[in-house]
This record gives sequence, C-alpha cells and structure tokens, in this order.
Amino acid sequence: MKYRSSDNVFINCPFDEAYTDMFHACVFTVLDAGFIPRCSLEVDDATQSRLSAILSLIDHCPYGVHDLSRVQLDPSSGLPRFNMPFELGLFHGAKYFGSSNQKRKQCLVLETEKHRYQKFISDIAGVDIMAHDNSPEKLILALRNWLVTASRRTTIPPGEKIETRFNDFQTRIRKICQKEGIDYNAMPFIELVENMTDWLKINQIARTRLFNP
Amino acid sequence: MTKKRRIKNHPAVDLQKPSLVRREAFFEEVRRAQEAMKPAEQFQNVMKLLQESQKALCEAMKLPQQLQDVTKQWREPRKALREAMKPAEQFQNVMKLLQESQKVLCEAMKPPQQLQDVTKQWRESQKALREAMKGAQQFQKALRELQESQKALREAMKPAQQFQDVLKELQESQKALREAVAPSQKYLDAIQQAIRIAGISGEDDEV
Repeated sequence: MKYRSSDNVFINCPFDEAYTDMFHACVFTVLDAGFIPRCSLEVDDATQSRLSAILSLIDHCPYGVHDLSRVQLDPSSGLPRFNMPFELGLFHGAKYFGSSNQKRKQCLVLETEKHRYQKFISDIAGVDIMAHDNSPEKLILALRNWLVTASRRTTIPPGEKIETRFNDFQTRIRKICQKEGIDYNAMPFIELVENMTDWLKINQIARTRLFNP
Repeated sequence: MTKKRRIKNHPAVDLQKPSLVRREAFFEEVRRAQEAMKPAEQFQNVMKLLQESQKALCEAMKLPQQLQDVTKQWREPRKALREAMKPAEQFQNVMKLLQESQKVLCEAMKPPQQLQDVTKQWRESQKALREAMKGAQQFQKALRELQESQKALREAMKPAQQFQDVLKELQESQKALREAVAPSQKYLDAIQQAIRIAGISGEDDEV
C-alpha cells in the first residue's frame, strides 16, 4: 500500500509506564481509524538529533494529538517535564509559520481535567481541550470523534467498536507475549504498531459509511 | 454502503518481518490446517491398506491362473471324448426312432384292446345271467311244490265236501221245519195279542 503523509497523526504524549494503556489506546485508535501514528519513539537514528527528528515528524503530520496530562514534577529530579508543551508549541509554530500545507494542520489537546492547563500554559487559553480522566475509553472516544471532525472521513468506525477491538487486541497480545516471555508494556513503538497493524488486518471489519455524501 | 477496511502501514514498519500477532495467526492457521488434514491422513492410510490388499489379491490370483491352465488341459481330452462319442449319438438317434415306432405300434394296438374289454364285459354279463338263472330255478321248484301242496289240499278237502253236503241237507231240513212251524207261530202271536187286549200281562209268559 502506498504511504501517504496525509494520513500521519503526530502523537505527542507521555511515555511513562503508568501511561502505557493510554498510549496504546491512542496508537490503536489512530490505526483503526485508518491513519498512521507517528511519534518521537520511532526515531532511532544516531546521526540525526532528536529535535530535528521531531521537527521532521511534525513537518510530515497534518494531524497532531497532544496530551498534557503528565506535565508534572518528575519524582527523581523534582523538575517538571516540558517535552509535551514544547512539541505542542512546535506544532503550532509549524502551522503558523509554515507553508500552505502546514497551515492546514489540525491538533487535539488532551488533559486529565478540562481547565487544568490554564494553570501552567495559559497561552493556549481558548483552544478546545478534551479531558480523558486518565481513562483509555474516554481517550479513544475523544480521539475518534476529533479524527472524524478533522478529517471529514466517513469511514472511521464508531468509538464503541474501536474500544471493543482494542480490548480484544490487548487480551490477544498479552497472551502471546506471556507465551513468548516478552514484556508487553516495554514493547518498542514500531513493534507495537507492527502487531496492531497485523491484528487489524487479520481481524478486518467492514468499514461503514456513516452517511452517503 | 460498506467497504473493506483499509489499514495503513507505518513507513518504519518492515513488512517482510512477521509480527508476533502475524506469526501466531500463521501458526494457528497451520494448526487448523493440520486438524483439517487429519481425515486426509486417515484416507491415505486407508489407501495404503487398499494397495497392500490389492497386492495380496494379485498374489492370490496367481494360483487360479495355474488352475485355469490345468482346466484348459482338462478340456482338451473332453473334446476328444466328445468326438469319440459321436457314433454313440447316432446310436441314440436310432434308439429314438425305435421308440417312436414302438409308440406308433402301441397306438395301432389299441382297437384289439377295446375288443378284449368288450369280451370281458360279455363274460361278466354271462356270469350275472347265470346267477340270475339260479333264482328262477328255485322259483320253479317252489311253484312245483306249491302245486303239489294244492293238490294235497284238494285231496284233504274232499271229506269236508261231504260234510258240506250233510250241512246243506241239514239246512234244508231246518228250513222245512221252520215252514212247518210257521202256522203255530201265527197262532201264538194272535194269542199274545188277545191277552194284551184282555189286559192280561203275558210278559212273563214264554212262548
């Protein structure tokens, strides 16, 4: 299948262990909706600096999902992690200063609570932010609905269906990992995408148009 | 309207390298195929058994082949025997003709047979006649005896004839007596009438 950058969704979210389920739900929803998840975890090129790799990703992604729910003090260093707000800023910069293609960028900002962000990043006040309450189900629904609105695509499955399929995938992959002696939570991003893509291809469902345009 | 879902591939994913999910799905398919092949394996085993039994049958068929050779050899002397039997067949034909002529003879002999039957019947009727004649002889004898007894009766009746004559004479004399007595009867009747008229009962009186 031909790779199309117009299907890329930049995922800017925490990668800590407590967020694993949320992250997996986010990646799965993007794939099941027919998009390609892109994330800084896929960058594994020593010749390229991390920032330039992230910039390149942002450049190639018309869509972006930014979860600011983990902007908090790191228990080991006592300092806050600014990666997510920084990448959100880069995304907005690209949209503002970029070419006409970049100007078409759209993003979803996620938070645990609806107005918490105003306390640490009040500059984005007025941006519609979705709260997921640290629930993968709510994240799936919010992300799916935003993708439908942003892309205007009518082939994206209903949120409940994606949620059910995500749970089925989790059960299956955990069983396989247990059998193979692999730590599922520590699975590299590309391997995770590989497995999700294959599972979705094997368990394909009919894509239903919500209405006839 | 429904379409088949299109799942996009990530550019960093190596499509040649099977994922855990794909590998597991593949092994599952292999397991399913193996399960599905089980009847085919059984079929192959049966086929093997069939081939072995066919081989055994071929081996067993060799003996009947030998038997057929022997049978062929046995048939040849029978042919020779049949050839040798042909004159005997002619004899049988002659025998047949003879039997037929005997039959014709029997048919021709049937009228004399009927004559014999009539003779028998005639003999039997003669016998019956003889038997019937025996009864007639006895009748004649009885008749003769009857005639003789009639004769004897007649002889015996002769004294009785004489007695009748005497009886006749007696009756005539009685008649004459009655006629001689008749006036006196009239006389007695007149007396009785007279007595009645006179009023004298003469009931106790005897005439």
